[in-house]
Amino acid sequence: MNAIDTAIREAASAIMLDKVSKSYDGTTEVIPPLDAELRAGEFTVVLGPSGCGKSTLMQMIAGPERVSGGTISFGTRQVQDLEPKQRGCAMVFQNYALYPHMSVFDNIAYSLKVAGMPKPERVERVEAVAKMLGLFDLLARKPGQLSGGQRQRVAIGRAIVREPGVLLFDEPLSNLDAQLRHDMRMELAELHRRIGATTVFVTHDRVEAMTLADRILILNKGRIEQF
Amino acid sequence: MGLARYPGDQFLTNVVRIFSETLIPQQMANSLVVAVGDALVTCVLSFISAYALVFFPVRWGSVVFALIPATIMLPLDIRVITTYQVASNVLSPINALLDITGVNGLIAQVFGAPVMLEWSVLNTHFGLIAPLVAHGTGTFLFRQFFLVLPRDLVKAARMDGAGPIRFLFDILLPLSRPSFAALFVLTFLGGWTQYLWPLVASSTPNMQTAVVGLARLAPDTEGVMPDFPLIMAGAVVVSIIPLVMIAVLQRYLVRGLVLSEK
Ligand SMILES: Nc1ncnc2c1ncn2[C@@H]1O[C@H](COP(=O)(O)OP(=O)(O)O)[C@@H](O)[C@H]1O
Ligand SMILES: [Mg+2]
Repeated sequence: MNAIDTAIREAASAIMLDKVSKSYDGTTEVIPPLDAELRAGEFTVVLGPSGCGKSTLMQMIAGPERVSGGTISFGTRQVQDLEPKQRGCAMVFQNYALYPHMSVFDNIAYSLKVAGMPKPERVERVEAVAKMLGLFDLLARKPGQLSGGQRQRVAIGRAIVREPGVLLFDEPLSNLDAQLRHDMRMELAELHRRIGATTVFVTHDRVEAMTLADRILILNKGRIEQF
Repeated sequence: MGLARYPGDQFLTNVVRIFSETLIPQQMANSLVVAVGDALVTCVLSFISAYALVFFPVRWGSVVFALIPATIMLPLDIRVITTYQVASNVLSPINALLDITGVNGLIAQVFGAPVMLEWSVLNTHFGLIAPLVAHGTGTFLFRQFFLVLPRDLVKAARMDGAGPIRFLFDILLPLSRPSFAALFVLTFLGGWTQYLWPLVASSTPNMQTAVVGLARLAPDTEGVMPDFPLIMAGAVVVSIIPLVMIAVLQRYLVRGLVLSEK
C-alpha cells in the first residue's frame, strides 16, 4: 500500500443526505426530498433508468449543481454550500471530460497545479498515480491519442490524484465496449479495495451494479425505491 | 490582344515608382495599423463578450445577444453619417445629455457659458479603427464554439478547483486558438479592404489607408488620362499583404470556421 492509498483511506467519510431536493426550474422536482446515508469506505451503486435524476444527485454531492433544499454532509462537515474544490471529493464524468489540449500528465496534475502544489511534489504524486493505473508510459500523450479504456483511466487518475475521501463515478463505463467494460469493472473493484474511498457509482446496468456494489441504491423518478 | 498573362517589361519600374513617387508605402503602414488594430481588438472583445454570454447567467443575456445581429444587419456603410458625427466629437452625447437635463442651463447661468465638450477622433488611427471594431460576427463565432464544447469540461474544471479566470486562461483560450486565427484573418482582411470609412474619416493623405490612396492615384479632373500602369502596379503591391496573410493562416481559417476539433 503506498502513500496515496493511505491518505485516501484516512479521508474516506460517510455521506449523509438529509431531505436533499432539486428542481431546475422551480416547479418540477427532479429529486423530491431524499434521505440516505452512504457509509464510509463503502462502494454504493446508484441504479436507475435514464432520466431518473442520477446525474443530478451526483452533481449535487460533487458540487457543480447546487441543492434546492436539504443538507449534504461528509462525516460531520456540511458541504452543500461549499465550492467543489473545498468538499474533498472527486468525480469521473460519463464522457471523461479530459482537457483535450493538455497531455495526460497535465490533465492529472491540473488540480494540484491550481491548488498551488510545488512542482517536485506534483510530479511525484502524478507519477505514483500513473503507475498505479498503468499510465506511466502514456504521460506525454494527448487524450486524442488514447484508446477509450486509457482515457477512462486518465479520468480516474485525475480524480484520485487529489486523494479525495469521496469518489463519484457517473456512468463511467457506458462508452466502452463489452470486453473493456468487463475489464474496467474488475479494475475498479480492485482500485476500490486498494484505496478504500467512499465510492458512489452510477449506472443503469444491473450486472454492473451486482458485480461492483457493497450496497445498491435503486432510484426511480428521483425517489429511492430500495436501499 | 486580350488579357496579359504576365507583367510587362515596365512592371518593376512601375513598382519602384509606387515606392518613390506616391504615398502608398506610408498608406500601407496606415492600413496595417488599422487592420491589425481592428483584428486584435475585435478578437479580444468578441472572446470576452461570448464568454460572458455563454458561461454566466447574465440578466437580459438573450436580449443582449439579440442586439448583436443588429451590428451585422446595420453595417458601417449604412450608419456612416451618424458614425462621422460621433467621431467628429466623441463627447457630443454628453453635451446633448447636459442640454436635455437642463444642467447646461444652470452652468450657463453660473459661469456665463454652457459646457461644450469637444474631442474629435477624425484623422487619427484610433478614429479609423474604433467604428470597425463594433461588429458582432466574432461574438457569434466564439459563442457557437463555446456552445459545442462539452458542458462537463466546465464542470470538470470546477471540480479541479479552477475559478472563472483560470478556466478562461488555462482551458478556454488554448482551445479557442483556431477560432482566434480565423477571426483574426477575416477581420484583418475586412480592415485592410475598408474603403468608405477610411475615406471619410481621414482628411490628409498621410492618414489615408492604402485602398483609399490607390483610388486617389486616378486624377479627379476630367479629360486627364489616369496613369493605369502605375495604378495597376499599386494594386498588385497593395494586395500582397492580405495574400501573404491568407497563405500563412488559411489552415487555421478552415479549422476555426468548421468549429469541430478532433
Ligand atoms: N441542467 C438541467 N436543466 C434542466 N433540467 C435538467 C438539467 N439536467 C437534467 N435535467 C432534467 O433532470 C432530470 C434528470 O436528469 P439526470 O439527472 O441527467 O438523469 P440521469 O442521469 O438519471 O439520466 C431529467 O428529466 C432532465 O431532463
Ligand atoms: Mg446521467
